[in-house]
Amino acid sequence: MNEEKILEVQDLWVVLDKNTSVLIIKACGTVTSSGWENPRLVQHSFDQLPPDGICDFDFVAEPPSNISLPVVMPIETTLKLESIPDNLKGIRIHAKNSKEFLLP
Amino acid sequence: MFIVNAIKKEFETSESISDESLPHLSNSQIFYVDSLEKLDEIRSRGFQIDSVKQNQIFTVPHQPDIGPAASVERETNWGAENLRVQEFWKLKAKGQSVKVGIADTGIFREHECFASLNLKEFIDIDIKTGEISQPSPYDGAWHGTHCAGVLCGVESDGMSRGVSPDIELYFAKTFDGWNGSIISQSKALEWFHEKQCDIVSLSLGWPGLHDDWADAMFKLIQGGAIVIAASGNEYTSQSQAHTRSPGNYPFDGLISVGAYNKQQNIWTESGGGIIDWPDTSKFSGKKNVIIPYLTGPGVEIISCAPDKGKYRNESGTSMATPHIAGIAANILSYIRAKGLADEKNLTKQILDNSIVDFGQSGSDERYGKGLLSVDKILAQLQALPV
Repeated sequence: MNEEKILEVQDLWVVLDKNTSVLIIKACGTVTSSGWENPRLVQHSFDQLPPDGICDFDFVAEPPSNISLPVVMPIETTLKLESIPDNLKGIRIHAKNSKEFLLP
Repeated sequence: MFIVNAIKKEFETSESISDESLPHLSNSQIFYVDSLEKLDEIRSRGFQIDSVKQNQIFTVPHQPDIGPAASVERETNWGAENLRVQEFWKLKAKGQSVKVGIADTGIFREHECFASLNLKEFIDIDIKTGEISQPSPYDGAWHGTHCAGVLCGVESDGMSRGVSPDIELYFAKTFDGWNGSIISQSKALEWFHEKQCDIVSLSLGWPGLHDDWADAMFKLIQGGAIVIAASGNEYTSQSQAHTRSPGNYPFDGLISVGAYNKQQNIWTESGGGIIDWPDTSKFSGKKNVIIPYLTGPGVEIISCAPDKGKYRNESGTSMATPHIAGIAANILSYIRAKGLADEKNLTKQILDNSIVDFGQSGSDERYGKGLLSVDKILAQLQALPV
């Protein structure tokens, strides 16, 4: 599977259900052409949450390996996190050209 | 369906080969068959089978939402202004009598920018079978309408839209929504050749090196067409695919186009590279091919959306390609009106002589040979014999 970071993150929504400790992240961004598949957020691996309390994700997808149209296109994905670190203070999403930061 | 490239046996040692470096393309013919059992029938007609490829249909699981058309109707297309299209028009170089082909997702003919469009023919090519039908023009997405607007949209609300509004347009719809296939593009290239298109604009491509359309493209260019094709948007891709086919084909008559922004800086993602075609390909021996050939306006381009009065703001080498195709059409229309001989070679010469080096000195994988100088084009046009 050939995954790459998407071009740019444009919007981010985070919903935290404190009763169930479920965090839902929806990210929207752009890719460089039509035909990208399987967009997803990949959490940076760490043993402990970094001191700043920010959880980092890469917004990745599989680029087209076929005929497509070379024009910037929208893409979006949603992630449900069921175990949230106690000291989580925010979410940061990384793309090729930008990173987006939002406090829950 | 299978795409069969076959070589007429009697021509194998012919001295009439027009490109000695690509002999198998010079004497080849394309067949479309639904069964491999038909290969014997092709052989019995005096052909030797060169290659057989199964049609591939490329579907897009992620169907991009058409989304709201941008509220940009009061904004001009800066690309058309950057290329100073009005100065071509003052010379009556507006693409008149020039046949231009586009292969794309379709066109929304009812848009006000196409009110005076000379749409000669619109065909819909089935991506599975390659069958051609002739429905009323429509766009299954929005991409084709946007690109056509850049190429030949007329002014609306006093705003510049397209580059070459008086062309004769031949539109091949080769995508089903956002899905394409090898056979639909191949058939489109053959159709453009049959219709004797002077210029073909291809805002599409397959990332990487794919020679699947080599034969059809060769015939189109040998027939005299100037082909303008996107270099792709994969420059920063992690894969090896930094350019797209057919834009990266090593033909003299093919101009691959990268994209620059309003500040005339190369767009970060604009495709480019120095290519060595593998020895297993139909372009064996073609090394150090620099892509793109040149660059055009392609970032944040305002053009038509498939809805009356609506426009979209889009970016990519898809948008740069019709800008350059439109300029080529304007040049050719001017030369044709003068009745000069060898008009398409002259068009290519004028384009070539008008490129101003940008980026690294000489041709490079970001800007190619550089950007078009409108001053240089106009000076050459005005210096042509009456």
